[in-house]
Amino acid sequence: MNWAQYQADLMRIWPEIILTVTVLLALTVDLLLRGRDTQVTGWITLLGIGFVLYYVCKDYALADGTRVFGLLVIDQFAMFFKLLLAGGLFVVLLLSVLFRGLERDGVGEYYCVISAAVLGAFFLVSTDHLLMMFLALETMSISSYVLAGFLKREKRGAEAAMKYLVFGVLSSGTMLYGFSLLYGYSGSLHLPAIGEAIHQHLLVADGQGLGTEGIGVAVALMMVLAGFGYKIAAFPFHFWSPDVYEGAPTPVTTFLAVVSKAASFGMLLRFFGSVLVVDGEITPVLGQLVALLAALSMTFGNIAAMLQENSKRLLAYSSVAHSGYLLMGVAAMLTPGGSENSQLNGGQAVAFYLAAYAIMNLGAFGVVLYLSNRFGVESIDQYKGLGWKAPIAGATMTVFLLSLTGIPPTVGFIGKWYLFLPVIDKGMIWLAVIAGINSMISLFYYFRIIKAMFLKPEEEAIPSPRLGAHALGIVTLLAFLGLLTIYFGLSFGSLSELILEI
Amino acid sequence: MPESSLLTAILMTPLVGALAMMCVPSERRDVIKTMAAVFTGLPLLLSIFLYVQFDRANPDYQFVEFHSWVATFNINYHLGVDGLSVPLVFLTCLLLFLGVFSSWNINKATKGFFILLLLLEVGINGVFMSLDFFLFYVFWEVMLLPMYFLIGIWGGPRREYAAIKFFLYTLLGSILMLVAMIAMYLYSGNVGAADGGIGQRTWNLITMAQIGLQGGWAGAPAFLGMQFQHWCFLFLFIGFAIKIPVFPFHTWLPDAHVEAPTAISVILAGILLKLGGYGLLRVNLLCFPDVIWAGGGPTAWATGLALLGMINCVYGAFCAMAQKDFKKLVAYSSVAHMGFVLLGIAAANEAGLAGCTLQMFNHGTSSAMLFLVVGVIYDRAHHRDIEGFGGLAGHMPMYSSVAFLAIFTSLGLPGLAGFWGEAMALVGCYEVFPKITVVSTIGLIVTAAFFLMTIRKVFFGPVQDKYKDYPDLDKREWTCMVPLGLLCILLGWFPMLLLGWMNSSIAKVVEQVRSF
Repeated sequence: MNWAQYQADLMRIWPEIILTVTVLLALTVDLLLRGRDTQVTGWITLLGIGFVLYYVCKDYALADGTRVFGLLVIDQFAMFFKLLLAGGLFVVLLLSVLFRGLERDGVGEYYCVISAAVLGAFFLVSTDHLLMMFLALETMSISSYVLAGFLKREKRGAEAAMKYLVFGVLSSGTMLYGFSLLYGYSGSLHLPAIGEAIHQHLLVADGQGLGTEGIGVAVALMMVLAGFGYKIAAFPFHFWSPDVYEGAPTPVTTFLAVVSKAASFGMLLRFFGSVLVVDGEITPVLGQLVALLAALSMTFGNIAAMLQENSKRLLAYSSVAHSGYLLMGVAAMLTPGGSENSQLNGGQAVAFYLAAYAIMNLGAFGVVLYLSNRFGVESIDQYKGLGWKAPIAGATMTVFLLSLTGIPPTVGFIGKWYLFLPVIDKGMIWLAVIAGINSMISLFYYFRIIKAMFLKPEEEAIPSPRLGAHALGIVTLLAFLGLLTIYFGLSFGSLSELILEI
Repeated sequence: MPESSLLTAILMTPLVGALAMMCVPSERRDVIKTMAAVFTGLPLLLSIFLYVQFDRANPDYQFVEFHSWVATFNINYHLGVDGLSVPLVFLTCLLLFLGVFSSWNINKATKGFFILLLLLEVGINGVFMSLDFFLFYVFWEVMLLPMYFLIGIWGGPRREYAAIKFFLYTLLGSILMLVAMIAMYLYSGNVGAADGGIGQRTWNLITMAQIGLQGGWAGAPAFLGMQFQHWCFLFLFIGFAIKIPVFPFHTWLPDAHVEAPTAISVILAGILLKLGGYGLLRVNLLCFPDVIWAGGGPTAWATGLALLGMINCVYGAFCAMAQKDFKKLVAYSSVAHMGFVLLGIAAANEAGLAGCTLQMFNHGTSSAMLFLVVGVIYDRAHHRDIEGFGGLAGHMPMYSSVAFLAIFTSLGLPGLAGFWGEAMALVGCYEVFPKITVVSTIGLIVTAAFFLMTIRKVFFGPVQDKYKDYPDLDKREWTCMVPLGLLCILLGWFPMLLLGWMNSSIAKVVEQVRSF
């Protein structure tokens, strides 16, 4: 590769470069400030992410699918996810700066590690090369393991991190084995080439699936799917998620639920979108399996969530259920048929839902964090009457939970509606009905929170609230996210145009 | 005011009011209540204006407004009213306005209560005005949350249970509706695309009705051996049936009614139930006429509807008879009354549909009045046990007369409004389903029986001293009763005041349905 080409390629990855600088800067500043308990590192990281966001927006229009270093693709898909990830990280960082629990255990490292995780996520969503994909995934995962156990003195956190690590390594191993099989069959690590190979050589004549020779490929794809299943916490690969969500510090939980999940889905879409969809033709291998996983995942997640007492645990199971909803879109993407002009495919619906999910979940976790900051409570039972004591937190929580249930006029409804479109278009009405019934179940437990907050009188609220640290900051952030949830629920034209480009 | 934005004005005034009210400090209860009265009063005036301006001879949609909302998916802000919706818009505005007065005494979180009430009005009016299915659905769902809170925060002892039950039931219906709605949208683009027809996918209910009229759904893929339009009809029907409520889905209603505060019961019985009936007319009947009527006769589906209507009439009436709680009795009587709406729709002839729409409006006034009547006595006695009263007529003569008016309207005494809806629905239904109609009349008899028994137990009998000090109706209560009472009497003698507005639209619906 000549120097000019190298330079040109470097110019295309400004966001990643700035992110790397931010990681290093956070580390250095933390070293210089050691011992002094300030939030300086956090604000510096925030500034860095602000620049990243700026560059992502600036380069958005230029993304034309150029390949960089032969490993990355800078296309609209990647840019959309980068925007989502950086935006998500920005809010998580704000929450971290405003969170009370982190101060004791070396804040600086925290900001360094969380940014490194997002650096991995950035590469993850923009690569179509298996090697790079695995490296990026591990960068993100290993950082996440560290983050999950960040509060060293918390027993729950340590257990969570250990569990996360063991499950995560297992899943990575499974996925890696699948990758190696795919390489063996296709002779390439490049996703479109693998897709081409499968399409050309292994599809049986009538295009109805893989022939007997393709069984190995089917096994490999299933292993990869299992690996992805762990990352997105879909049933039956979700076992780590409730413990980790509960045990990790709330900002980290938010990060895992929003940023890490979005990145994993980005990778999943890129992988299956390249390997199983060649020139718009769908190889009908995994569609039904993914649809089944989706149905199981949402049903299990919702039923399990009904039994939870801890709000973070509840949101963890709800996140399992939401993986199920998202997998519906993937199932639609991998199922042939449907009308000629389907308007949006399953993958685009997933991307939209991820954006919606990010906004409402950031908000919901923000409220959980605010309440634990101010009142020191985390279980739903203790939320009694708090809606009257903290009206903005209560009102915004109502909006976020409505959105998570999928009731208009919120962005969550639009997201669910987008997912239903391709699913019904591909004739999977049963899946849509199951998802619908699941929304109803989810209403039941989401509204347990609202019931506790508003339907119980203020007198039942826990006495003597701790004085809120940074209360105003969080409340402003929550109000902003709440308005955003409603704004995109009413005026989703702009967002959907962004989606339809990818 | 330019004519074209009248509907938006009616629709959005309460929303503006709600937003403005958020800025008022919550201690200023008097200001908040006055604002609520103003911002529900204005739409009422506008809706009267709408009623007067409406062109009765024209069966088409009037005051149509059309703005693009999300062009990518052809979603539009598309409003319009015809003869079926104009009376219901008026009823909504009236009952919400009266609802403000009947909740004048609410002092627990007053601000929240009235904000939610105003938001509720936006949702209800939106459903009656929407000509875009997507918009229709959004408004349909917007109603749920205010209702949940209104029952759940200001309700009776079992309010939490009643509120979530209401929400869950309705949401189940909504979701099925959503699935059917999306399927209709996706398929609507295929219809007539080959021969230069519609071609583009649409949420427009008028276009969907055209597709139905041309039998366009018949080409859509069947699923599990049942045709596309039958699935859609079924899903939509369940959605609307829960709201009406139709027999197996009715169990949320008594709970919600009993626990809700008076004003909310009034709105629930007076308008929310009508949304179901309206939805059946507007969507099910107009978009899938061939499901109800095929080959010059009623289909099995129509028979099913009529049977469900019959069950509602009879079963609801018997349930009401068994109640000891006055409010629950009224709630079950609503179930019985809504049965006639179903009978009318199943018959799908002019008399039937006229009966159905009249019944919806008149039940709106009479049941609203009945709930107010129950509210009045509950405010004084703090219980609603029918057996525990007696001789109220001696102490509260004015109150008792108003109660009699409401009860007689409700049981369908000729000369009062309630008579017309039931009579015409039965006449219409007899033409198509004579046997079912005959059985349904049992419901009428039982209704009369339990209402008369209630009168005997509550208002007549020996005068009891413990009710001696109860004041008769006060000014505020009169304000709520008088307009409704007047409507009951006026429409009893001059049903054309309603029918005249509806006739041409009904004729058009019947013509469309009967063309199959």
